[in-house]
Amino acid sequence: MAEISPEAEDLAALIRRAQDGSDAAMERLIARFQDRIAGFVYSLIGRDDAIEDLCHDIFIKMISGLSGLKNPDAFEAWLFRIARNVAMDSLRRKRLWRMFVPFEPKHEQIAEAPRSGDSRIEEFRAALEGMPPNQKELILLLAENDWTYEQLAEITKSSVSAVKSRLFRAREYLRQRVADNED
Amino acid sequence: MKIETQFMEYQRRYARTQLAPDFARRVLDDARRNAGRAGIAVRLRLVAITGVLCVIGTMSMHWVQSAYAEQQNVQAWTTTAEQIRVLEESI
Repeated sequence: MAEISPEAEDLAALIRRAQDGSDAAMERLIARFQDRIAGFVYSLIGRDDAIEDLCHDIFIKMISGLSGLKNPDAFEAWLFRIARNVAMDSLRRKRLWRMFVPFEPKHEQIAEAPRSGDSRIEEFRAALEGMPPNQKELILLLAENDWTYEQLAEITKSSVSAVKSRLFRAREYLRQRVADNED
Repeated sequence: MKIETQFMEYQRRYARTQLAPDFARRVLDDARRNAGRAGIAVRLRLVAITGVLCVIGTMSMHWVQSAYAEQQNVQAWTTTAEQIRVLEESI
């Protein structure tokens, strides 16, 4: 039988306690994932003014759906799927809003998130910003965890072959952008 | 360390500062409040569905009974008409 790491086992126990209705377990579960989810959402939407609201929605959905999750091993992929859907919906809403509301300079007046000061990180950020969202999400998910193609397909609601081809294009794009900047 | 991982760590560190210190507790409290509201909404929906089912049931019963009474009446009138016809012929 395959051995389960103590961390994974602990997480499974925490999830079960949360499913049984323990508020303390639910709170610890949120606290355990909130930074990773916030980082993922922030990277996906590229703005910091909606991080807390979106994370709030994500964890509310997590709480309401957790009792229906049969396999605790699938929890992380399931949670990231919720996060991805909420962030993508927010991007879509914003795009729709831009179509109907005339653009004014005040709409640009959102304080820009501070830059890291590391040129490699900023170069990577610039490359990501020019990437289509459905490729960007795959790069960000893989930076978060070593998901399998099947898990990535499940999180992004697409087929394994679509994931492979999008990932290939995304990596090519990144390689090209980074190489261009180095020239 | 890979650049993606470094980038993600930086993003995570920054995003963490955007969450309230008691973020988890707040989410949990909101979820409990929403659950209460959702419970009321579910109960109201059940009451509405029961009401609609009662109206449909009453109307169906009324229709069935009316149809039966009409059929009985037609049958009785047919018998009476036949009896009148026989009586008229005998006179």
